[in-house]
Amino acid sequence: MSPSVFSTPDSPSAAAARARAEEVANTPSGRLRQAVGEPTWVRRLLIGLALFFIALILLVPLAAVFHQAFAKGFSGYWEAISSPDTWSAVKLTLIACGIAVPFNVVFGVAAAWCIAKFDFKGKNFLITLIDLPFSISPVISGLVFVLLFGAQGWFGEFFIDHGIRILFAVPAIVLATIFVTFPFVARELIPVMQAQGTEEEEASITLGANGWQTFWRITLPNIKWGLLYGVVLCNARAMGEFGAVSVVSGHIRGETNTLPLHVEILYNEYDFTGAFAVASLLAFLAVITLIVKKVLERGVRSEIQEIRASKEGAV
Amino acid sequence: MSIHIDNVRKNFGTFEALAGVSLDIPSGELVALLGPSGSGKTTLLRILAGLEAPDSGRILFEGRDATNDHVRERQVGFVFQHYALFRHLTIFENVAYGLRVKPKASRPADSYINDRVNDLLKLVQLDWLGDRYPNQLSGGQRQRIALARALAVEPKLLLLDEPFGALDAKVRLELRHWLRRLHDDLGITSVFVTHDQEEAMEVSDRVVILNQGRIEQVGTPEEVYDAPASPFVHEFLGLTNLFTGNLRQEVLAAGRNIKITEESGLDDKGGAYAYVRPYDFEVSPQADGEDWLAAELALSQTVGNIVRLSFRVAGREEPVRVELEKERFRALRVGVGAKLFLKPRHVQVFSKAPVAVETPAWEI
Repeated sequence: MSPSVFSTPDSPSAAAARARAEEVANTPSGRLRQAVGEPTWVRRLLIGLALFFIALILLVPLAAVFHQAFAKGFSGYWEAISSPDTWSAVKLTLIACGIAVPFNVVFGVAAAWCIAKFDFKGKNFLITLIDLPFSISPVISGLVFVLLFGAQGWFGEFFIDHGIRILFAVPAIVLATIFVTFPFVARELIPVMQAQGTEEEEASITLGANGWQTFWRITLPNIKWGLLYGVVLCNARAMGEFGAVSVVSGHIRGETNTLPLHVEILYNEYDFTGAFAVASLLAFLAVITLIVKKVLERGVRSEIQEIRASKEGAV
Repeated sequence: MSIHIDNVRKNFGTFEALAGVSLDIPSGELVALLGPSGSGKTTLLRILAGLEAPDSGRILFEGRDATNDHVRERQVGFVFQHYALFRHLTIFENVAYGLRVKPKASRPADSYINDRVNDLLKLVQLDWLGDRYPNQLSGGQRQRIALARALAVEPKLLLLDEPFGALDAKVRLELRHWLRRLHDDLGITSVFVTHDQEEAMEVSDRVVILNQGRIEQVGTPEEVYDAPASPFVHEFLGLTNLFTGNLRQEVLAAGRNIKITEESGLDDKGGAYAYVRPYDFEVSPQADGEDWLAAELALSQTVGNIVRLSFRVAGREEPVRVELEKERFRALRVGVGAKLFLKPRHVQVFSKAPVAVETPAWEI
């Protein structure tokens, strides 16, 4: 690619062209811009509509959550948050995430690695399989574990005989969370790794590195943004998962309630302040997730752009 | 390190990439694997590196069977077409990589790594770029860093995959000469893949010409050019004119007769395929004998000191392409439409039919 053909945005000719375009738009005869764009009132109407619906559907409910949470003042809020049941729900949610996210990181990296870097039969089938949790209802995801580990389930008897509780206990909650958040990391990494190809890994091996060194020193640094992005999405879903966890949890207060389940219980007991206070915790987490996600997206973009640049930008 | 390649085959699905290739590369030589895309040259290079495994056949390094050796154990330096520099590491760390990943027992001290990397960066004349990142370098600079990185581990064999393929013409020419000098200084056995016949001829000690997974010819650049083993080799090595017909007493009957100036060694009966390079024609306003071809000048194009001429010859669809020095063309004092006579000075004859090759052609 020759630089003379593709002028960069900073090149004098591009700057001149921009200046010309502005000039044209500013002169009375320059109707060019108006001719291409929509009339001002249409643009304002469309933007207004979009903002209205965003406010109605996203901002008002979010505000309502915090409003309700503080309906009985800060002390009421604090009371709800600091109750032992809430804390046990927080703990359980953290445990479920703490197990599900690392597990899915390991699985996601491994799956993306073999899908992106190798060709084998059944690859498309594997990709479809990874997507499975996306496409089935969370309730079904939960029921699957009831069928497997319930008293009449395939493995239920075995575990009950050995005194191990799976269903209506922490293990089933963790399993359901893992299942539901299964695709996030892998889905995020596959395109990044496919774009990167295998040349750098091959270079590493020819230089004498073993597979482990190659992974830690070359592959992982190259996918770090994509991986973090996947982790954030995975974590957000793991914390917020309701359906599948609800089916397998048994709703035992202070024992098998995660945060979303706890919100539901409080709400059903007409403890609105408590329900919304706990919900505000989740909402707060969501906002943090959004911010982190925004920051990471930039990193992922630059990761992919760098690959393109290093492949095309020969000159 | 001397290399012996023994009847190596490789298929990718139904595609036959290498159909039984045998080749000897003496220690210290710079060898070019030359061929069109799909000829198997890159596959052969990757098999030498250990990045692909052959379906059958053997690779011997210094007489020792290395077919099943892991890439790591082969002590080869590999330079990738797109350089494959580590994006997240500085140039210095890129070059140091091979030394840093050595097992603890044989890993050199930091001070040694420091010196070695600086020496290599000086060798490729880029010692002022050590703390930059690959995306801050030009293509030619990246290529030289890729080479320095490969040399850091003191390979016994250097493999280069289309090393200049992604560079612009001027940088390519510079790097070619530089690579040749570097090879002469270091003396590492080197194999490089290219589809550019000029590059292969200019840089290498020996050229291996591959086509459809088979070796067509091995020889010095002069040998393959002056005595091509097959029509494919002749056609691949440059623009040419093909005349077909029946050979009788060293004369090819093809529209007008072409006298074969050299001993062809072919039977009098049967078809023959004769090639004449564009610069191997005499051009004259008059015919002073039997073996001149009557031709009409259809096009002329001046490129530097050379004039490229395209002639129409009766009974022939393809134009006859001729190259003349500008002075000599001017001396003829003719233009497009002129009736002239052509006589080949040098003809290469084959009894085998040529296969279709993508040859470089003039855009006229």
